[in-house]
Amino acid sequence: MPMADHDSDPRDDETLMQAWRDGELAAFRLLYARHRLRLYRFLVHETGNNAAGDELFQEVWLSVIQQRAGYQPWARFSTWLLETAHRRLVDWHRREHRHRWNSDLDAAHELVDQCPLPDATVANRQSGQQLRDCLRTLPPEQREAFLLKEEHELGLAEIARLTGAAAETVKSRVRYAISKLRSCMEALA
Amino acid sequence: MTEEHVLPHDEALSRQYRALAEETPSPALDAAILAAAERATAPRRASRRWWPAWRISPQWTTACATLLLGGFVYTLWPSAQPERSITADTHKPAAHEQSDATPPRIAQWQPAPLPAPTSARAQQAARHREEAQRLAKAEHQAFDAARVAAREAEELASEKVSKQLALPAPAAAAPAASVMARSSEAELSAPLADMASSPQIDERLQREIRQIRQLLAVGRNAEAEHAWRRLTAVHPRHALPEDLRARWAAPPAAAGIGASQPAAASSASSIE
Repeated sequence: MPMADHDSDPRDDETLMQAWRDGELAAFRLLYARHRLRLYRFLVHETGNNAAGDELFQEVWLSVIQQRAGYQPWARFSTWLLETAHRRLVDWHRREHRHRWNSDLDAAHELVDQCPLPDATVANRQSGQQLRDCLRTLPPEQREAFLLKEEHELGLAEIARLTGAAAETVKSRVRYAISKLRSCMEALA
Repeated sequence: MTEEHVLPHDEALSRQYRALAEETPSPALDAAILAAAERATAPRRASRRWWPAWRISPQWTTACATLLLGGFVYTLWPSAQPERSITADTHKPAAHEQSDATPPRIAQWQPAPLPAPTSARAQQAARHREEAQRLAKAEHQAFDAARVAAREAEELASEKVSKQLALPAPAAAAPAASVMARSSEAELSAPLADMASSPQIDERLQREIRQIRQLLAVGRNAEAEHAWRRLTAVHPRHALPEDLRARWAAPPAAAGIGASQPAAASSASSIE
């Protein structure tokens, strides 16, 4: 099915979402075309496999379809979309790994990482596959914070609000994620 | 300092991440999601299409309501119509009977309460019952009229007999048997002629009364009395000639004397 050209409409995401709420199917097509790739990559990298990414990707968009009547443009559409994705991810982690989703893990991981590798070393030695493998070794909270920053280019406040964590906790998660990825990539090289 | 600068950042790692092979959702996944979006919008568009047609046509709604009401009334009308006519029929004779002071058995006659029809067969049965009640009522009315006519005829006959009995001396000198025979003939013929003038008189009853009178005329009193008893037993409510009623209402011993009997009765005993 051909994707709509998401740059053909000058309307922003919030306006398109309101149009979709009022029944305009073309607005949904535009929104889907604009956000499908980044959301899909985020979910695949977050879950670590394509099948789970597909499942969550479909669940998130079906949720957008079903909850369109209650949408209010109090926040950016991308934030609302990622909040939905975050809730699905938390459920998925609880279902798949019986993972305890809290910030207590951050304190334990903070003691491990003490000496991040230089940027040049990482850039020269890692390949894409190695980075993907290393992402899978991260705790879900750190991986999510890292992906939200790199994939969706969200700021600290947005990530904190989206994940429901404190700003300092988010900062620690991103810092630990970066340091662990450096260590992992260096070890694989 | 902005929020982005606060977050730890690794430029080489970011470049490495962006250089990853771009995973994309499969076309089937895209089609499934877009189809779900189309299904979600389809009912709303459909409802917008047909709902205004209902909203802007109150005439259509009024026509439907009128049609339903008409059908309801038409369904109930055949059972409601005879009920009203029965009610009208039963009220009129009741007043008539009270004014005429008829025997209480007739005056107290009322149609039995009709059960509510529950089905087509029950409605038909109720209709037949109502028709039978109406016919019975008409028969009672006819006999009332006959009774009045008989009473008038009897009075007329009595007057004729009285006139004949009060004739002057030459006429009174005629044989008593012939006078009594003529009065008996007048008694026989006049009431029956008056009664026959009413088309509603039962022919059978009239014939029996005539036979009784003929039996009396030829002197067969026992048979006449037997026929009278049978007639009054079969038709207790019907109007019967008062002379016959008075003849056999009196004690048998006094019936033959005839001293205080009516003129017709005394004439009949004279014949005997």
